Amino acid sequence: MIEEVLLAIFCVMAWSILYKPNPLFRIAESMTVGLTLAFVIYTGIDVLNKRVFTPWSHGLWLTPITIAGILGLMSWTRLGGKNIRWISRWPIACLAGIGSGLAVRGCVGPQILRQLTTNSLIASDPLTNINNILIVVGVITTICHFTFSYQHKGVLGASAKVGRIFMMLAFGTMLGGFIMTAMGYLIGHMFIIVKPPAAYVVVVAIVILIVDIMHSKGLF
Amino acid sequence: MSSKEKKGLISSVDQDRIIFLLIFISIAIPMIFPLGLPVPISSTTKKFYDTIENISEGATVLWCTSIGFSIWYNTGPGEIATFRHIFRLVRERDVKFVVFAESAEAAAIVRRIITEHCDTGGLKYGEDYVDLGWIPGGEAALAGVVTDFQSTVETDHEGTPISQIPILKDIKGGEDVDALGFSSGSMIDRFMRQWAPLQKPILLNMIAIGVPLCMPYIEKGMVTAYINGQRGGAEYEKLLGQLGMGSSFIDAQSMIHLYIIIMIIVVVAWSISRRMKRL
Repeated sequence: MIEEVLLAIFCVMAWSILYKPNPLFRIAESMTVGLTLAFVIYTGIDVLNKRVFTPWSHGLWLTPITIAGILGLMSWTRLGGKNIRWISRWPIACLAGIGSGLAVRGCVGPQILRQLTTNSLIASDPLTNINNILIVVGVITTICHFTFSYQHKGVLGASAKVGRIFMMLAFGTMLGGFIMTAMGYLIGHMFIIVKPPAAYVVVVAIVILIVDIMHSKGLF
Repeated sequence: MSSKEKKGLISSVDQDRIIFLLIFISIAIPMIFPLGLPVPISSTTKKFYDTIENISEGATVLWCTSIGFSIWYNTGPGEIATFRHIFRLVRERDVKFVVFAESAEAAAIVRRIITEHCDTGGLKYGEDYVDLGWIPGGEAALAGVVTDFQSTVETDHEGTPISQIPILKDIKGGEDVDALGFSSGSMIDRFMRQWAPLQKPILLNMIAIGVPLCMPYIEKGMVTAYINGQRGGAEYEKLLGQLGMGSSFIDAQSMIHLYIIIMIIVVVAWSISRRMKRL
């Protein structure tokens, strides 16, 4: 019950920005940042405890985690004096090197070779056929749009215009998806807020809102 | 008094406020008075369900949760339904379920789902399922669990060394896992780079906005099946026969879709009429 009421209070505080900037919104904003940071730090320390110190306490000293732990400690030397600051470059170099190596190793198959292969463009389902044609036309015309070596006239100009329409459709779809995802968050919170006891918080918020509107209009 | 107020027009700030107010109302109404709109099952969600349903007896499923609290309401329904389905198979077909998280928040979400939403009664932790908690390292960790599991994972989420967890004794890498799955709210490239070469079934619970970005992998069959956000979660709940959070949201989602479509039509019509007046 308390959890739901608190959720409602913070939701209403956060949503109050839709009416106008106010101190309650700033409090909610700061608390979100603070709580998130506190949670991440807490979990980080917890993970260090369980993944590094616990194996050490069981006598598991020579493990990859130990090496990672040492590299992690080395990165703190960045906060030290000029004499030891160079040490922090080693863990960064390791991170960059390992990261690049992993990405390159994995990307050749799934991201390059597999994407170059294609199934038959003619499928039994007519809708799939239309989709395949749209994909091919979309790719070619979009490439035409970004071909700047020649002036956009004639066939190239027409293709570039079609390519622009394809891009507009793609960006519009993504924006629509983004808005609907955002609405999903709202729906989730509203699910809790419309039911008592959280609903009482909303009633209080609406009363405050009406009073403020009336006050700003000079009605009292 | 501004010129707009003199003309009796609503200011842009008030227009925004009215739009937001109508959004709240259009979501709140179906929440208070459920409409009971039908939820047709899409072929993609059915494929996801069938893929899990076809997991063979004694198989091992490795799942990575990579979602945060901010997208909980979008991917949460699908995640809960997936866990419930897998736990059902753990009980019925002796399937082994190994789950880990890619972030601190995801680790908390995994624990919450298992303890609050799944029926683990009669199952033995460590023998039937295991929660490895947060495995830090991002893509390196994803690569590690399928190439050298025993070196990558030291302990479970409670700090128990994996040598003491029976379910993990035979897992050396990706070849010992029968199906992989993950949930995500961002790009899935890192998962594909490390897991797709294994040629194992890969399941995905994806935030709705991210699905178009996953299409190159879905079309090429690297992602075997996927759940499309909140809507997909609701469909999956229906298939599973355990209605939950996602099903409760579906009326409101339909209403908000309708509201946005009406708003687009109204605004476009208003914009066209203004242009015609100028001409």
